[in-house]
Amino acid sequence: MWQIIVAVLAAPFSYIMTKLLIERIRSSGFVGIDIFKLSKPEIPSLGGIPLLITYIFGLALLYLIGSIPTSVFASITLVSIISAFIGLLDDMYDLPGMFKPSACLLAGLPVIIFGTYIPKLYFPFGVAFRITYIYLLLILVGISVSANTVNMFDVINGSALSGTIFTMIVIIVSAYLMGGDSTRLLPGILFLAVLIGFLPFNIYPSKIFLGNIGSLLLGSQLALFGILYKVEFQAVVAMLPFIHNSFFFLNKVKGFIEHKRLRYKVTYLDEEGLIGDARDVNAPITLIRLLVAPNKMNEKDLLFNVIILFLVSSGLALLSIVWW
Amino acid sequence: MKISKSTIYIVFILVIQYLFIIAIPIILFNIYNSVVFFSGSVLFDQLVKAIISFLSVAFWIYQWMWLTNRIYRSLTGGR
Repeated sequence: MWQIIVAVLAAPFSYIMTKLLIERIRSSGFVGIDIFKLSKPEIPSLGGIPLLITYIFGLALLYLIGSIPTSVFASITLVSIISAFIGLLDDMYDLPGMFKPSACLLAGLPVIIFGTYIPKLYFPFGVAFRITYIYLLLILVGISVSANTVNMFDVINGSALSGTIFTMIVIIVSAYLMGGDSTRLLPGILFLAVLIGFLPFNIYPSKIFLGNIGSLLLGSQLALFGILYKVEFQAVVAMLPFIHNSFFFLNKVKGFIEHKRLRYKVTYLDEEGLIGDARDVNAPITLIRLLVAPNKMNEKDLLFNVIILFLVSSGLALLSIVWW
Repeated sequence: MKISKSTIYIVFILVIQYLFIIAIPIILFNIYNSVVFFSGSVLFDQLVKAIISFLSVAFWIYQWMWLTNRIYRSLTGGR
């Protein structure tokens, strides 16, 4: 019980760490323009830094008190650091489009090296596939795709973070309901607590952006915990809104490219501060574009509808446990 | 704050994809366990099964995109 308290205490620590670092990040010049506000304010970016610091510190604490085995500690820590570092490089040097997905393939290597996986995929109704070698490829591709998928949905205040929080809740609850040693859930609970502590600063109206360092970190952890807890199916279902957004992006754009680098407009902000569909036939039908297709919406309403979608996908993911 | 019409449509899309994600593995699992495509060669048998898997996933993705495009046109009045 006290181990869970240690994990949950990461929430206030995450809050405090973010509060302490916001102005330092701003004064370092790492800011982004909040494009969906009429005043176009500059918002500190690199929110992944306080997230990563709190997370790694919490993991180290759990390891030192013997709550998680060495292989799991090493696996999670290295996946986090590698994916966050790749994001940080992109934040600092604005690297070419294919850099992030290619480099993020490396983030999955610690899982393979430390053997923190079982090469079997489970589905409802007792369906299971043992895919010894293909699973190794799925680890590398899955973590990279998940990281970049979350990264591509970091488009309005709080969209990526709220989706990640819902997916983590699904992962933890599913893993708990599947049975087994519940102490293995501590790293997941810790990660969720870190996100919740950060939430007040990133949710609408954002006071800090995730940055690529943050969004790649979030996405990589979703895939990682899906693999560690053997709830890949539930994680994918909970992430359906993320995946939906990525499909259309990739189909039109033919690559993992952030919104700001697109040559055409997907959405626009009108003079009343409402977000509308740019109706450009060359632009991808992203999730945000689809949401504002019939009528313009303000950013707060848009986030609300995004949260509804994640509530539905999370509900479907948890429903599947009934048929397990 | 209210739930928009497009959200309802997207929920419909997500539910359809959910059903596909459940159905495809069940169908493939039953095919793989009951059919031997090449009794003389394990390699060719597995190759055929891999192709079937790939085509199943490709079909799933295709219908997802088709459905979304249809719904987008419906939401924008065909524009």
